[in-house]
Amino acid sequence: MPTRAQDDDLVMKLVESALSHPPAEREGFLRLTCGEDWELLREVWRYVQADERMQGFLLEPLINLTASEHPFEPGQLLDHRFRIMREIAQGGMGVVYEAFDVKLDRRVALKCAKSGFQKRLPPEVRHASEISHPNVCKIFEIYTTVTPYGEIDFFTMEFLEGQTLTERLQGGPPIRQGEAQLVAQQLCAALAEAHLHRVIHGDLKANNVMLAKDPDGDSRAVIMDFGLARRPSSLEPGTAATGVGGAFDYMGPELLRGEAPSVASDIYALGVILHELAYGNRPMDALELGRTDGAPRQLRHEWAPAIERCLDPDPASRFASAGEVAAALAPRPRRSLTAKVALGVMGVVIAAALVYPRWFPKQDISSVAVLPFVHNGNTPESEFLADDLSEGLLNVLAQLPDLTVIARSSSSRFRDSNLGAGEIARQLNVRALVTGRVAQLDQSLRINVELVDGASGKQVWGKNYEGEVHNLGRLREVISRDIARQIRSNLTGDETSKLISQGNAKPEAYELLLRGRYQVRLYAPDATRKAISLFEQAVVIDPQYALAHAELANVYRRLGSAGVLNPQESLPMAEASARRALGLNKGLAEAHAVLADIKKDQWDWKAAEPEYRLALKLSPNLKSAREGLAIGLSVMGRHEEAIAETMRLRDLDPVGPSAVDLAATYYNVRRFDDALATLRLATDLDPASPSPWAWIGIVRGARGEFKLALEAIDKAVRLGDSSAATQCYYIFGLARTGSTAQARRILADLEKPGAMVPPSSLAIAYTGLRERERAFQLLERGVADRDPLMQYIGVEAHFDDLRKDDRFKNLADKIGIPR
Amino acid sequence: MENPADITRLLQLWREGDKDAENELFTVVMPKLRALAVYLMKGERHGHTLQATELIDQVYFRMVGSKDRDWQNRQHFFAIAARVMRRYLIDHARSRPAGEFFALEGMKDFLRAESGKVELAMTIDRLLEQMAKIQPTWCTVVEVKFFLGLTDEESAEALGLELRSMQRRWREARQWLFEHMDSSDAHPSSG
Repeated sequence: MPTRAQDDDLVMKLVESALSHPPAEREGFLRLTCGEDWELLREVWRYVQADERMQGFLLEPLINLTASEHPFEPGQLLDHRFRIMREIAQGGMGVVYEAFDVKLDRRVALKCAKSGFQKRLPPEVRHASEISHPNVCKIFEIYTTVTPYGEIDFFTMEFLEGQTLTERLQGGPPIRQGEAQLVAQQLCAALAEAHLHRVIHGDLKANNVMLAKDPDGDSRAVIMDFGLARRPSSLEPGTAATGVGGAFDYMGPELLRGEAPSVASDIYALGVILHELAYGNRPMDALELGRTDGAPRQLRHEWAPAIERCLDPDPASRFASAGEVAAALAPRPRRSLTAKVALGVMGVVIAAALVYPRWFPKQDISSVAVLPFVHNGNTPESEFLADDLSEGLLNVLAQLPDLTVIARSSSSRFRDSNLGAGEIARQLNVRALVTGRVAQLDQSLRINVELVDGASGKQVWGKNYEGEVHNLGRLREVISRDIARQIRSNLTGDETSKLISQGNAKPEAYELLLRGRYQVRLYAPDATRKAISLFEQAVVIDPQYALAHAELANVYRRLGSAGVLNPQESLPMAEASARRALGLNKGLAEAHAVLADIKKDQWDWKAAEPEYRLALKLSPNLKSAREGLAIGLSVMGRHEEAIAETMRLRDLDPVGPSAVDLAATYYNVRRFDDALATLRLATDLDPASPSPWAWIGIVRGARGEFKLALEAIDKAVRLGDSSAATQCYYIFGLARTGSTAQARRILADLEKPGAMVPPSSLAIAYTGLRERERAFQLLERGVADRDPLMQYIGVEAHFDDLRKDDRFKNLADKIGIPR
Repeated sequence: MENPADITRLLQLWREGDKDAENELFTVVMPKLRALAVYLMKGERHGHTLQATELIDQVYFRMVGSKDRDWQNRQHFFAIAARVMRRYLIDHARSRPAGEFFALEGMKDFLRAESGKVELAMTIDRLLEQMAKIQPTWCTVVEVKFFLGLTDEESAEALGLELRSMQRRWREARQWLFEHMDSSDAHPSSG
């Protein structure tokens, strides 16, 4: 009967031996070793299975007191077999040593993990060790050793003498065509072999390719580190940045989105290496530097289509295997470049730039849209970060002279769009697009920004930026500066710095402002309150920040129109903030625009119009000022001017919610067909938005098509429109189709004490019920309460029954609108 | 409380399962382990500087004096040191550092950089409470391996166990914890 300790000894030894075998062989090994001792077999097998499940769970101590940058030292003998000779390299995650295998009397390379990374090797390494191919670095065996710093896994592999492909590309004579061909074919062969074994590299890059000098003098390209890649998400916090380095350039868009490495992502990385061989640089660098000296010219022509296909942003469109790549690269008779690229916005650039370098004069850019930047994360925080960049850029570009910059409400429609750049540019009617993608790993950012020609969908310019999240402000400035200079090459340094200074706001305050604007765009009461708090914080941090005061004015005003505050309270608050903004910066277009809106709501058109005009003179791309001016002009009966403004508005915001303002203007000037056409377009673009449907109902009602009106308003309500004004139009329709009882039921709810329904809206409901006296009472109250919506009674078609009454004319006079 | 006899007596009592003795040991041992904690946090251990075991040994022998080299007590001293570290780290992770101890420079960075690990530690800490009731020896092994970060050899030596016996308990304890992770709102992460 063995003692407990003897039992432990036997069981643990067997467990370790079993684990040192490849997973598939473990059970067989144990059956053989344990013989008839089923009890022992069961016990050991239980531990082995648990070990496989646990994947190294809890092996890393809470505090890594055994961490070391140099796990081994020269002279040290590992496992009674490997004598450490010297440290060869410190990679992102591991350390490589030259060692001598005293048992087999040969030189080996020995690799182990570095501190901060798992000391346990991923199981894939074991699969990788099964590959035997001259162009794949041979992994011999995997060991676990106990060091003074704890247990550590290491593996031995073929010792290769030579240089990495990165070193070769950076120094030495230019790569000749024959050499490039050879390396490319060998890399394809290696990848094909690995994929055959179902081993994905996951981290293929030039630095992982060794150009080994064999004893006979031949050179062979060898891919190292198969199976070692870790997905970014599993990197230890705080160390991710070191693991990334240049690896970003080799990552297909799907990896940046967080998808798992695949054959397709290996093909993408292979494409980047091929690009390096043919052009002497990576696709990303090529955009910026345009440096292709020393690269074999002919090769570029022959390889371009294949490289393009390897780099296709859509994994499914790439070559299906490395073997196919090899076939496409093989020398063949010259042929013309006809590879057609139909790509999404995201990756257009890389491929396009290979074939079409800068080709059109950038001074010609008269209109541009900044598309929402794409972020590899999908949290609100990552979306905000990407928006922060694209919005900052948009704000800078909007200030450039003679340039139409599409409002973000339109450009943001193309977030996650599958449309090609050319199609987007056509829909937005712009000459150029700015696109960007943000890859974030922990705190490090890599941002790729591109300028794309609208007509061809091809890239004109592109650049990569790297930095840290806490430096976002600085990154935004640099990117804005570069893009502004690309679009207007004659900008002086002073002009540029003035553009990007964001009114010299303190960076923290600017950050808060952007966050506030983000909330404003969410169009929800809670978000509006959050926005107020953010803007208020911004002005506390930087009381001199005029733009933040203007934004604050805008949200206060919105609270009034949203029925959260009484307009008599909200408008004075809004005006005070707007005036404060102008006191700090009388040239601030946004402040003039919001002051104009406030004045318009106070029925003071005489004061409003010059403010709108001034705002637009200061910033012709300011959408809110155009909207206000167009509607104001229509209310004042200046139809031609109103229509002219709406046309300009449509240029700025072709597919955004301005469509509703556009339709409202048409409605006010009684061009109902145009209004409906605009609204139909709006519902096509964004079927889930309630306001176009509400407006369809209003226009239908004005045309006496009540059944259609009720259907449309029903739809708006189902989509989330809960405003009292919309319900009053609904009541009008019900009343005119004979559903009087239902109309009165809804109306009774709206008139309950405490419901903050604008009197002018209630007047519409009573007009529908043909209760003229009650309607006039309410309109009088609207005057007394200074209801902002009263400004529209002159153009409101639903009041046509009342219009001939002298009382109505008196009301118009009181409000200051044409009779 | 600097009297060597007191430590010996407390260790003796603790060995016999006296819970008050454990608390008393804590107050005595905590400040003494300051050097160890600093050492663990700083992460600047190049070459062959002091090992955690050496440090605990030093603390132990300084506290009990050179006369009383009771190896069993020394082993228990290690166990208590590991428990001290556990309680200390967990208290810090919960942002309520023990009054008797001190704020460490490295601690903040550790908590910030390794939030996943800290979360794991909190879960393990909760599970150990349960484990202590059914398998107190496993619990000690986890404390020594995970919270104190000793190697297998050091742990075996510190706890007075055969290496393989220690390893077997460690495997059992890890399996138990791994299987109980889900029920405790946390997911095991490899590492």
